[in-house]
Parts: sequence; C-alpha cells; structure tokens
Amino acid sequence: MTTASAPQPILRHSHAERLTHWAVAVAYVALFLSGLAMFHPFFFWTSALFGGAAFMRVLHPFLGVAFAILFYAYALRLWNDNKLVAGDRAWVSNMFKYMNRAGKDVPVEGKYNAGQKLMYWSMMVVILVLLVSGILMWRPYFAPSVGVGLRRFSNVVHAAMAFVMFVGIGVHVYAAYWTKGAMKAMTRGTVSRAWAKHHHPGWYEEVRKGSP
Amino acid sequence: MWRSGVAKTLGVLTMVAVVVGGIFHYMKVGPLEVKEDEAKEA
Repeated sequence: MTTASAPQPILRHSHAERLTHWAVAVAYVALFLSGLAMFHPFFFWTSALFGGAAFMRVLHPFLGVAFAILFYAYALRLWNDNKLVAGDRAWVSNMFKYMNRAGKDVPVEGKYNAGQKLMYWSMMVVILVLLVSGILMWRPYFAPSVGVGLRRFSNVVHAAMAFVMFVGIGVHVYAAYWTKGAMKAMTRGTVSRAWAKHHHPGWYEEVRKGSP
Repeated sequence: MWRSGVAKTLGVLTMVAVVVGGIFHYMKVGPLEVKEDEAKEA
C-alpha cells in the first residue's frame, strides 16, 4: 500500500515499449528453440515443440521476419537514448569493477549505461545480418535464385550470428535478473526514485527537471 | 573446422559456459540491489 509520504515511482518504460519488448522476447524464444534444432543435432529434440522438424523448418523463417520487424519497431524508438556519449568510455573501462561490485560506480549520464548501449548496437547489427543471411537461404522463396557458394556462406554467418545473439541475450537476461528492480521496470513500467538515482543519475535528473 | 562440427560443438559449450558463468557470478557477487533509504536523499 502506498502511503502519502512514499516517494512516487518513475515511469521507465511505457505500455507500448513493454508490450513490444515482450513480443520480441516471445518471438526470440520461439526462434531460438527452432534454430537450436538446426544448429546442432544435440538439440534436435526441440523440433518436437513445433510439431516436428518439417513444420519447424517452415515456421522458423517466418518467425525470423516477424522478430526482425518487432525488434526494429522497438529499437528505433530507443535510438536517441542509445547514442554513445563521452562518459560511456569510462563506464566500459570500469565494467568489470561494476560487475564485481568493487569500487565506486561510474555515473551514468543517460537512460542507459554503456553496457546496455553496446548490447543495443550489437543487436542492431547482428539481427540485420541474421535477417539478410536467413533470407538468402530461405527455401523455396529466395534460395533457388542464390548461388550455392553464397548460400553456404550465409549458412555459416547465420549460425555464427545466432551464437553471438544467444550470448548477448543471455547476458541481457542475466543482467536484468541481477539488477533488482529492472525486471519490474519491464513488467510494471516503473522504478523507484532511489533505483533511478543510483543506476541512472543523469536520466533521473532529466526526469526530475521534467524533461525526460 | 565448420564441416567437422568442431565449431558448432565449441559454440554449444560456450553457450553452456555463459549459463554456468551467470550462476557462478550470482553466487559470488549476489544481486545488485539499491537501498531504498537513498530515496530520502532523492
């Protein structure tokens, strides 16, 4: 129950942002599980989750296109908040101290820290490469008009980028779980004032001044 | 390396290592929490 003296929480993610984020997440899980079956025989059993390998093979590229559309619809809204600033260099230099809670944190200037921004820009590139390489080997629509050499190259690039994406999203999910309050920000939309001031002091000041 | 399957196996092992690394990190460092007392200053 909120008391009259309790500080009001701050809106960090709007309804639209949260809905799009979770739609991207659901699409990613479906893509990841279907992709795993094609990535390594050890994971072939995941194809059963999609009604068998044949249907999963058909579904995967459609899911990929839906995922890319949802991701870029979400990511483009966050473009301005993820522009790199001079202070990000210091944050990256102290990243391991931050992860080990050793020493003082480098103040974050904007809504996202440099680690979040690196994730953002790497996913912008990785998902584009996944989309293009996936389309080049999409049978029966595009692959027949693409040379065998390019298709094989796309296959390797697609698997390598999927691997990078798994590691990146793995770090993203863990960081959200590790940073208490971050998951609530993406479900309920709000963070406490103490949370905002501690993790994103620059953004907190902007919100406080009424110009988020 | 790709055709022999070594790269894919290394990829799978790295993915498993990321998951295990996360568990160890959480065990060693614990959650990143903010004391709500800071709200008074805020």
